[in-house]
Amino acid sequence: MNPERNRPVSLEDLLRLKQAERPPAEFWGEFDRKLREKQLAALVAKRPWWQRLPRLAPVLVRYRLVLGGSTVAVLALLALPDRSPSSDPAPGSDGLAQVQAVEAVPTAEWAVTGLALAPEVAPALPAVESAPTLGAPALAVAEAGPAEPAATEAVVVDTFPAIVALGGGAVSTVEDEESPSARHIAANLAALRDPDQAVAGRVLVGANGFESRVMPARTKVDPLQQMTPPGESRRSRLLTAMVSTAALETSSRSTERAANRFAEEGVYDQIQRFGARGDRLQVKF
Amino acid sequence: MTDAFRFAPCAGLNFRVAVIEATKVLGKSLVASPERRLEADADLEVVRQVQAGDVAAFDRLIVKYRERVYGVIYNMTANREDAADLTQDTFIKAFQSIHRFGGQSAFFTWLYRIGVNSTLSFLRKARLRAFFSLETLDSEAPVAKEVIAALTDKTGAERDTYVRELQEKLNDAMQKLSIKHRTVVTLFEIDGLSHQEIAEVMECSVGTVRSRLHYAKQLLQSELQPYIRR
Repeated sequence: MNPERNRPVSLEDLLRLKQAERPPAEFWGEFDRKLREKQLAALVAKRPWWQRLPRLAPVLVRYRLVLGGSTVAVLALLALPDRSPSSDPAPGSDGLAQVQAVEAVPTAEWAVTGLALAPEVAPALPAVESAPTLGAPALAVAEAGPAEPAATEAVVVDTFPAIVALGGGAVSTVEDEESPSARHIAANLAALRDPDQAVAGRVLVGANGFESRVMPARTKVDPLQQMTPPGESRRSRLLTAMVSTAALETSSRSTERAANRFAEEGVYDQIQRFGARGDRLQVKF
Repeated sequence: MTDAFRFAPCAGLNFRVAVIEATKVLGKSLVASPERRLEADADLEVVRQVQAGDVAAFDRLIVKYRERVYGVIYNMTANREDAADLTQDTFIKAFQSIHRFGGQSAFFTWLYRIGVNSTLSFLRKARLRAFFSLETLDSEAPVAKEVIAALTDKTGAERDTYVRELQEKLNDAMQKLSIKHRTVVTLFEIDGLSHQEIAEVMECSVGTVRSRLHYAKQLLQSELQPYIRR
């Protein structure tokens, strides 16, 4: 007989049995080996950046004034517009003159062309009228001689004083550089040196206000070829009518099939009466 | 006691602060036994070595606490493979976060908290999956021998079968508890932690711990009634 058989057994005694559920000794060897592997893997594995933020917190707190100040400074620099000297010229400086010159180029070009077409200005502008850019008056004057620039400038100033005022500052800047417009001017001047062309230009401009530029020759077209034969126009009208009736039939079929059956028959009848084969059109009555 | 009353005769906000401080002092004096305090101090010394760069010192902490941590997690999960994995993960997490351990609580409380939280998270994820793989109950262990002898006269294979059946009944009863109730029972009845320590581990109040423990014991008592003898 078991002497402990009559001993009371409580819930705590039963739960204490769970303490006896223990792994065997060899379990811990395997446990340690796996733990070592996991430790190495954890050391090698790169942790995501947000897991490293708590480590930075004490540093950020310690240098909060410095970091805050520098952040505000950077934000202020980023928020301010670009104030560099190259992009923001002072009023009256060379930069402004360049900007004005660039803006004035198309206007001045138009003005010079207009001058060339004006009859009262034409005698005084033999060299100017063919110059397409702003630098043309000054350069052309230099080539033409000392008497002409005065007249040219006088006429231009009388007619377009504002343009001359704008262009005056730009000429000096354009002269310094070998720009495409300057090359164009040089080519025009070389063309003007040709005596035949110069004479023809003066005569034409002075007498009738014609342009001295040589226009490309147009190809001659026979007027009869431009006319549409009456058969063709009729055929196109009939084809257009056929297409429109066919389109109407297609759109109406989906909505009211029964009601359009008669119309479809009519259309079919109408289409059957027209026949277009090759270059012939057949109509049945 | 003297420390607790030192803050008492204050008024207003100071009084409330004093009451909180007194509660802390009182709680610590009641919970922390001299052995526990010595153990906590020794652990803290090792932790300081690890924090100073002596990584090998952490192995001492592993060897010291692996069985206890494994036991807690095993009784929560009732699966030895999961328990082994979770125990390993607990030590790895502890090692990775040891620079944040400041010594406000005992190291083993902190370690238990990591293990319990990992296990709770695991069990919530695998709530529908219940594969039990139980360890063999060592019926010759001093803890079990006495109880088993009180329960049965059987010997040999019959005794082993009886023990196995009892073990499964115990496990079934534990699994009928909610995760938190099971954790409280495990920490208090099996691992022997105090209410205060369980409250620290589970990050709840002592009252909550007592309430959970009471409810869990009621349920277990009804489930294990055939084995309880008064």
